[in-house]
Amino acid sequence: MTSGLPGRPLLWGGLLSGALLLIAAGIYLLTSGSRDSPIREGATVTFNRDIAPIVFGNCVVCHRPGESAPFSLLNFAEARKRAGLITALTTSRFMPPWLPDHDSVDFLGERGLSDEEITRIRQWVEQGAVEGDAADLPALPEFTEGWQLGEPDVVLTMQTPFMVPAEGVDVFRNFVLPIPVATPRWVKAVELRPGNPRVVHHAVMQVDPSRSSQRRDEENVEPGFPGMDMAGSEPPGGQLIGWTPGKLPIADERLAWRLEPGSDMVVQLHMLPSGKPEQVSPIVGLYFTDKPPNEQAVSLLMRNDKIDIPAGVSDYVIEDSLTLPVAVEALGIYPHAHYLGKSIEAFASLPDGRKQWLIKIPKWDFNWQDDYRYRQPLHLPAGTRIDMRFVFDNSSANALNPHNPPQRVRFGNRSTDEMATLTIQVMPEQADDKPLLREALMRARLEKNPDNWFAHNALGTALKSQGRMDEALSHIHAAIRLHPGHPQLRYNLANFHLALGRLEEAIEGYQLALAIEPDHPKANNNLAVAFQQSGDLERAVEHYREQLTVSPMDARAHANLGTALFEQGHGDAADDAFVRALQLDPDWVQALEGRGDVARKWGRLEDAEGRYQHALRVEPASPGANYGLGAIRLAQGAQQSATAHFRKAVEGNDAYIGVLNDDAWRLATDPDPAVREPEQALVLATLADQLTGHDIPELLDTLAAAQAANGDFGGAAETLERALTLAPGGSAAQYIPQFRARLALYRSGKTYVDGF
Amino acid sequence: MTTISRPLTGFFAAIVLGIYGCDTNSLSGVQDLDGRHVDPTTNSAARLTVALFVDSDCPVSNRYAPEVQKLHRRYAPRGVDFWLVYPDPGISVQTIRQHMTDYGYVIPALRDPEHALVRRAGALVTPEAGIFLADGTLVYHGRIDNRYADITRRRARATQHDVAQVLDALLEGKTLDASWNPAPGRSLKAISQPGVGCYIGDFK
Repeated sequence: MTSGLPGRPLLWGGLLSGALLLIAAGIYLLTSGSRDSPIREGATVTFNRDIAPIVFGNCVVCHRPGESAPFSLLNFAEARKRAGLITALTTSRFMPPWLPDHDSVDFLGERGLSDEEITRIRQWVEQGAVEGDAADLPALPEFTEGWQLGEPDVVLTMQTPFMVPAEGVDVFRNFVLPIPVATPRWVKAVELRPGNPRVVHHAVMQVDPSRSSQRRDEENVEPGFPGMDMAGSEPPGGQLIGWTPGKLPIADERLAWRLEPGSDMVVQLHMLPSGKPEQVSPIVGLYFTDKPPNEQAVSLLMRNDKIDIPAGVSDYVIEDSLTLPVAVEALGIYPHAHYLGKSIEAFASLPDGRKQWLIKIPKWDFNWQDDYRYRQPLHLPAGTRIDMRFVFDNSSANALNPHNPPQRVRFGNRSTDEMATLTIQVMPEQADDKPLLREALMRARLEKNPDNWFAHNALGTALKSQGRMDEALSHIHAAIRLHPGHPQLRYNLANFHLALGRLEEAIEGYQLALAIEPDHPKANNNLAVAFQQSGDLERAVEHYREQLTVSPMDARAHANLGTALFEQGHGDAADDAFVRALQLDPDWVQALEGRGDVARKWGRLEDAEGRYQHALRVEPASPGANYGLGAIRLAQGAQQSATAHFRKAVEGNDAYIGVLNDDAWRLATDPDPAVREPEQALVLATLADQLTGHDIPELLDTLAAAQAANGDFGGAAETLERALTLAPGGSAAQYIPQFRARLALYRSGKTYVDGF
Repeated sequence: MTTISRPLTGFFAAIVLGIYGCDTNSLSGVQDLDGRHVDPTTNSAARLTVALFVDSDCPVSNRYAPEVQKLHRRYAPRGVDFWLVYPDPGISVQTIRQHMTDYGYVIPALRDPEHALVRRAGALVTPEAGIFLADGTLVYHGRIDNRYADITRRRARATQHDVAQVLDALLEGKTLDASWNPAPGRSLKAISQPGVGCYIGDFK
């Protein structure tokens, strides 16, 4: 190929820097003989028979029109035009791009050519790159155009494209794409269409349930915000969602993650100026599933931020380790360093002494960073120690060193800083072990940095999941001491209080969060819940409305507002709120139940039944729908069916015991005779009493009232006497005087009616 | 190399010398986009001529488009002629025009389907430059700068701007070694710094 340039090989003699050796090798190979070739001795290597299978199988996934690679290789003419370049790049193993070594561990989608294939390409070029017999040409692989996983359930787009300048350094930018879902969804797959594949080199996608990414986006007029810091976003559900050229998205229902309404998708793109200004407008497709996963993966993020690399040092080592408290299966791995990264290794030392490679990248190249999924999940028993080791080259010999001359480099998110992070996606073998795993991870992080507020907060959450509330609270408080102005920490603390029933503290906490972040995406809703639980329906309604000002698409808040309005007795307004929730999500169970309850209250039983049945089709165990259907059956006189539904309601949520009791009381004792239904009251009260073992004084009091209402005064007196024997020392002790007064009524053959 | 009037440290120290016979043949097949034969190395009244070998779908070549235009803006007013040279024999005039529009090139373009100019300039890859004196003598050929350490490694910024440094030296009237500036027809030694990009040889 270089025969027209006599004397040129002299150029490579001795004076070339190492950096140029690749090119030298490529050219040398082109001019060298094939005496060392083991393949097809004497036979001519042809494109159609020998090369096309390699190119079609490994290259054209990207090297075809409209895809990310710079030129197409779909036919002989196109491959012939790049024959020398193909030889050089395959010989150096730069193409196809794949960083992990091929022997340590097997990954899905592994790329790379065998030695034999590389030699075959070289021979083809040496022999003049001939086309060969057309009959030998294999068929082109079939590619799916457009969405690889089919039409997504939701498509996220940018309003304004971002302009990548024609020249300059690589661009790292985060684009914030609001996710228009009104209700929580399970996401089984995310597919990115980078918008301009020739410019976009790599993408990472995370989800931000807070508003922090949006605020960063608003700091400048151009779309997105710069840098490698992805604000408050996180890998959703322990998922690694990356995109590199030629990588196909995977839909895995087992790993579906929960998407909360009001979240944003943050898409970080690594873009290369192409020589002309380029528009970039990524599009993300989300694929939902109705089935929540049985188990959820965890991202084990190992990192060591104590990076401080002196200028000129070529072998700076950063390490970290973690011992697993529980058995896991490792599903995937994502190593991350920047331009000074030289090599990356991570391995597991198993309790039985064996060593299992997790990843080994002998020659790191930031430009081809990727996340990898193991071909077979790796079993890592409890007690396994994971070690990571990153080596950095901050000398001038590293051509990618962003500083010239080299400078001291420390930890940071900018591409000119350095990072050493290793994210391992694991599935705990026992679903309950997830909090233990998080606890170990956060404790390891706090050992290195006791002032890490994030780790304190995450550790608090992990401890809360284990029911260790006091320890959990101490870590949440520690996080707040370290970062008092962080609204999410205040919000988390308030959630703790709400879960513990400390409504005043919860209300105060949400109000603090809202004082810091008035448009917090969830705090108004939870504040309203706290007010509703404390009986302050007026303020509950007020804050649900606030929530809907911040997030008009929040179906949960619409439905919650409906329940508060219903409790207030505003049936029409409640129904309107439920209707709005259902406009956003026709299958939102809480709103279906709510409309059923409104219809039932209005006596439209058929309408109510339809709503409840719809709710049960969406969520077969729905306690609210079962309760409503039970009430309808009871009104229809079908006691057996009614009882079955009530039982299901209580099985789904034991708070329905209280509802049974309230309804029984009302039907037995309402001052309005038209409301009173003594027979129904007796069914409800008997069931509530049965389900709780006949030993709750308040329920016995209701049962007695129902018995009296049905004329069974002897039974009523007996029941209430039992309540009186059980009441002392318990929460019902306060009602003893009332019990005695009612006992006197029943003994004198009178019923009890509220208000009389 | 030894009699340059001012020491050019570092840069020239790294330069490799290659030896070429001066190609006195006419530049067969070299033509502008209207099909007119052009010999940019001898037809120019310019002090210096730079031939820039480019390709429409070579990513390395395309990434240099802004740099090439900066060189043009900076040196054209100082009497340096610039020509884009497309060595791909299969490329159409229409594709070239579109490519120039896409990348904002305002430099006149030539087609070199027979690689006469490629040989004259000793170009191996796109993008590379050949710098000629007014009498057609090749004085530099190779990379534009060292942004690419090799085809796999791209620096954040170039640290050595070869073409600009050669043009500066020549325009400042540095007295060069006689072997650097021989009479036409005799052998010459041109400064060379191998480029990184897409092989022109692949077009043959």
